Amino acid sequence: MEAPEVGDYPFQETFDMVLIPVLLIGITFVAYFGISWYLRSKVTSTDDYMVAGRTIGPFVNGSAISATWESLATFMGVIALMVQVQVPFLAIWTNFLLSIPLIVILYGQTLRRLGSYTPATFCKERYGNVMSVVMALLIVFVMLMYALGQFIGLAQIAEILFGWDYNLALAAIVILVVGYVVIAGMWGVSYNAALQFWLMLTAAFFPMMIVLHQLGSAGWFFPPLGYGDLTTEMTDFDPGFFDVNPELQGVQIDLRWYVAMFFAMALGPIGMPHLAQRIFTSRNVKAAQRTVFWFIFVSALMFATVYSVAFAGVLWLEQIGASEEVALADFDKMIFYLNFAFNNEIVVGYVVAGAVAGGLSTVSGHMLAISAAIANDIIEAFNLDVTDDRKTQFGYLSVVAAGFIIGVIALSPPAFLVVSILWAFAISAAAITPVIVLGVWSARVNRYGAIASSIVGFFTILILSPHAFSSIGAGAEGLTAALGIDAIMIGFPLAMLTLVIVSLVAEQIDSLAVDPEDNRALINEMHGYPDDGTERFTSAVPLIILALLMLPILYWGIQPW
Amino acid sequence: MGIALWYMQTHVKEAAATLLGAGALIAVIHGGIWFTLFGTPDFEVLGFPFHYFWLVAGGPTAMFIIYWGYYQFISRTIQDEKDAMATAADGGQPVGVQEGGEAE
Repeated sequence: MEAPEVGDYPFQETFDMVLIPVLLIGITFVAYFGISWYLRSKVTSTDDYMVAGRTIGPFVNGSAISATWESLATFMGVIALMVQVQVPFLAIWTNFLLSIPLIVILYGQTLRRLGSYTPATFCKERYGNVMSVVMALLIVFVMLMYALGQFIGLAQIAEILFGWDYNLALAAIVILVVGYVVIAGMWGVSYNAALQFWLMLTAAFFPMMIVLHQLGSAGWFFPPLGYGDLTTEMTDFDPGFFDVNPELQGVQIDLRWYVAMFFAMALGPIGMPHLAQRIFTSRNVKAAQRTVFWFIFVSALMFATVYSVAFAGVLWLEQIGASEEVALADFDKMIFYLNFAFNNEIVVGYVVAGAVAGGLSTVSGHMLAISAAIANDIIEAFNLDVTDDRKTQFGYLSVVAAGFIIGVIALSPPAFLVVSILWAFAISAAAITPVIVLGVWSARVNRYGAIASSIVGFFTILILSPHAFSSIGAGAEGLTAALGIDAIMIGFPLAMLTLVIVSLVAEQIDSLAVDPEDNRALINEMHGYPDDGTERFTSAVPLIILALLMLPILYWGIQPW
Repeated sequence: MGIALWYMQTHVKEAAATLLGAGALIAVIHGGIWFTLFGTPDFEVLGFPFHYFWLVAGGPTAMFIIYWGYYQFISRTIQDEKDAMATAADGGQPVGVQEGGEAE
């Protein structure tokens, strides 16, 4: 089906008065820059720039993490995927919710105690300079791929709603984002992200109350769960919506698919530095732990609200007899269509401002993660004699450079761009997550295992996914392969096996001089134990059990899909 | 189980609690997925099929409760034992207070 042009649908698709959203978005940007400018005076050191002086409380951090984590996709991607992929998509998306609690439990609180800026800072202390550089490069790669999609999405919003040329819209977005990240670093970005979350939630929640009320939903006053009486319409629209074992682009969604999806979509975000860094901004370990409560509460509220848009959209299209006319991809804009139909343009302008806030909060996190990896981790790894001031200046410069590079790539985006964000999760799950988590919980993994594991994990996903070498694959096709879901069933167990086997073998080679005792003080410090000579986390048994568990997963992964 | 936990070293208890906590969090979210794979309980909650409701609201609520249990154990029982160890080690202040420059 050919994508319809704007104006082909029997309802309003764009603004009659573009000035309204421009003004509303302008006001929000004034607020963002105002906050950044106000907090700029607090940035006097690398600690201030990278981790907001480690002063952020649980409520602000929970909201900020939620905004960073949800991104523009919450407004522009989730709704279409709900209608296209149905309940399996809900399972994928809910898996994301696991990431922040798992980050905190598995390594966030320990690295916060250690005072790390980024996962690469931890790698320097735990594994040495070479691994620190490997991790910094992985961070830059993953963040660039992630940020690329967000920049393009923001530019497309400007293009669609304001009628700007794409290149002009992209240039404007790059300048605005880089400008406000540079002004206040993590301090301003953290408080701005918290504000952006509440802007997103209110822009989705309150307008949907009005929409659901006018559609006749009995539970209109609480959109996250009030649309239960619309399930009949959804089933009429798509009789298989709530069915078990549906197919996704020709691939049967079975137990293996869900296990692979868990590795990619839950363990992948665990390694995402822009999320981990937010935990490191906490004012202390307890605040980092408490952040999770706020994160779960506000994120669940936001997501559940957005799901209601898909149901309301389906019912509304049925009511106006347009359900056959709207392309599935255009369900991405359903939140705007519904608000055009049931609210005035000022409200729609506010909804657009909420969507922009979502993209901005995520992309600013990416920029700071890139900045920290280049300006702190790589400089530290090469032991360059650089003052704190100069390091902060490098941070500013790397944000500008990252914005420029992303802008240039986004001018002619690669074909796989839409899925590149989720593909980045697969790379993160295989190349980043194992070395960080096991580095925290076992004194027996070492630099040799970590370097080998990250390289094996990265290249396995890169080679088996269709984006780099289309002739080589892990067996699946379509969206499953594009997201790296089949590759992760091979890449993740291989990376884990490599980490464990190489680490334990390296211990036996005298010339490598590996001694788990060398890690004792660091392991004790990060877990909050005194360095009293007690050996902790030194048993090889858990590692061997873990490696043995990886064998059937690897065997499972190489079976035909 | 409870007695075994009592006699474990603190760091083993911490690791076990972390493993259990992470496993339980994963399990409650994937409970909704298991329902879709192996049969859905035949009832509705607030108008939704149960597995849908679980993924949207039941799972996150269960996550909140499980994390609360984990947090209580880690921030009280385990932290108290760590503080006692630190005090016994050098008679100084607890390790948790020394790092990050702020009291926990």
